[in-house]
Amino acid sequence: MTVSNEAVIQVEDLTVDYLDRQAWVNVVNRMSFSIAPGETLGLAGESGCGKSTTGFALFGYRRPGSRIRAGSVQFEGLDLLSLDERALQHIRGAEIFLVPQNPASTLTPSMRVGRQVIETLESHKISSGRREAEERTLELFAQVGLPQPGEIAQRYPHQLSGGQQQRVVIAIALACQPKLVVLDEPTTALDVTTQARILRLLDRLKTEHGMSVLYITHNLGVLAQICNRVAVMYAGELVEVAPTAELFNNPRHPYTRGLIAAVPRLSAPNEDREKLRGLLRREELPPGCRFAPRCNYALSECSTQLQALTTVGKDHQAACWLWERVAEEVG
Amino acid sequence: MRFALRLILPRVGLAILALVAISLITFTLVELLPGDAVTRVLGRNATPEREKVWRERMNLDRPPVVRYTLWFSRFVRGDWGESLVSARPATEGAPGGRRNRAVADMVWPRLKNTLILAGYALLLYIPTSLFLGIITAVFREQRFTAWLSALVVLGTAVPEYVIGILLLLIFAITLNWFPPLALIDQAESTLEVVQMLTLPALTLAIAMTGIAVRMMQGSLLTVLDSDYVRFATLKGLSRRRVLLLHALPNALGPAVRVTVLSIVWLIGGVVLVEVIFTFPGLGMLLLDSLRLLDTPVILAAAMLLSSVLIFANLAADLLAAFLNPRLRTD
Repeated sequence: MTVSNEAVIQVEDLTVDYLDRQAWVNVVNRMSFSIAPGETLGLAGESGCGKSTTGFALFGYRRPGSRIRAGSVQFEGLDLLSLDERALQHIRGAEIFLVPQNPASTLTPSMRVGRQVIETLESHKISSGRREAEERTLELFAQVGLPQPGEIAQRYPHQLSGGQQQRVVIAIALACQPKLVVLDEPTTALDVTTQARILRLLDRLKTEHGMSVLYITHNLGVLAQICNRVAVMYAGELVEVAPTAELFNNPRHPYTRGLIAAVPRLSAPNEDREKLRGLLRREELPPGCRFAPRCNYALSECSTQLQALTTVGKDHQAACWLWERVAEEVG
Repeated sequence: MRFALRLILPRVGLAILALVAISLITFTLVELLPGDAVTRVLGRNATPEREKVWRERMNLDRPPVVRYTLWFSRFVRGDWGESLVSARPATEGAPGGRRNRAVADMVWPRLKNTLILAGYALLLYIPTSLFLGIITAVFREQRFTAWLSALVVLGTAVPEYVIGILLLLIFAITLNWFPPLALIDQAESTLEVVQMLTLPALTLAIAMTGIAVRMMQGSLLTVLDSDYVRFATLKGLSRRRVLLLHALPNALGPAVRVTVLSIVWLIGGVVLVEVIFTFPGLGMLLLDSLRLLDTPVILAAAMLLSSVLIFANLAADLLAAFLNPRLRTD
């Protein structure tokens, strides 16, 4: 499924720093991954590990006060990190689309939601003329299951519920028919029932339109349901990549094991050995394996020994030199 | 429109309460100052007999409570009384035995002058600070922004009287481009009025720009970092469209509010600037009547200045509300 030369998008060595009181602090370090056509790749990791930053980089976008120090993002033969704003405009939205985390803050508060769809259609010349764009907007609203589209279009974002707001965002995505959608925790801010409905809607759109998806979340349960492959991130680095079933059945990196063990379960009690200790502290990252200070398997060399992704199974890579021992111990 | 009433009515009630409190405090403070109008007017010529006669004539022999109540009951009926000190111009005669000038006649022309000066300053600094605020926020990662910001902070840090005196020395005394005194009541043409007003207005504008720029800049920076501006950008909209339609409308509300609120500082600054340029405004009048302990004039001037502030506050809230659909539509 993941032959690199037919990938929709290919990220190489992505390295991003943030400016924190006059000093650059690394947030994403040498990230490399690719997404195949029609594939859903899950990107998992705890808050602040650089997931969103990575997601933004796929748009050639960096937050103000950050810099992309190295790397490339290959999309249709272009390196998005070296394009100027004007060239990126044609790709952003039209080819790669972002569905952000919090629908309540995603739509512009001062603009009616219908206008926010129409302006996107017009910017990408998806509709010819205002009339057509308006009609298309109403169609889209109906498609994503918004009741009374004509009336909804006249409303301001704050007059919609969280689920409706997210449907508006998805309607815009649908209009653009992008090749790749970046879902940045698209359901975290919604209640559970709305979450399930939005997930079903996204899944339907994905299969109908054959889009590739990067699904960013800290919720492994969701990833297990919808992803073909899962990539696990820790402190700005990839620590494990594997097809979903393989990752959940045979996790090789101690951090992945910790994440999986952290999912609350009713059936079996969690093993103490796997539990994650402590918190991610960016100021105290060791020069070697960044996870070493919190790792239950770590040896003293781990803190100084640089780790890189190595193949540990079919389509399965992990960045831990002790992976065989970890595997044996757990059996 | 209902929301506007809901916004205005409680505030009008509060404003009236505030004005009553201000009049009471002002009256008390003037009472606490040593001496009274009689000692100030008579000065060295004072003898106990003379003081007694004058005090009776000015009603100053009655207890403060009575005088305040009397003033208040007349004030709310629109009779602002007469100055204790200023005499009516000879040409007007003295009908009904009144010899002193009506407070209203003294205060209104001065308020008009002050508002003209403040308005001129507003006209100078609002567009400038909106522009500078937007520039410094949009190009925040460029080097020139840092210099611009430093300059703006410098403008804020230097007090009005220093700016005023510097401008006076350079442009009025050395270069002779503008008159040093802003006696606009004696101006002979509109051009001359503008000439006289320019230096005082510029002084105020420089002092005010700093605050206003930072308000606009802060407000816009918050919006530029918001999720919806990022979403608009990542939808593939042009930079200009994102700025004009997604960022600015949402930054303007808070910025306008704070800018209108800055009129509070403006009014404070006006008094200083009026003194520096000998400008016949309300601030000068307040100062002069304080020197003479002319209570009715002091009270009227204080009430007017306070009303301007209260009105600015109300206007700020209304403007912000109209710019925010959340408040407008609920």
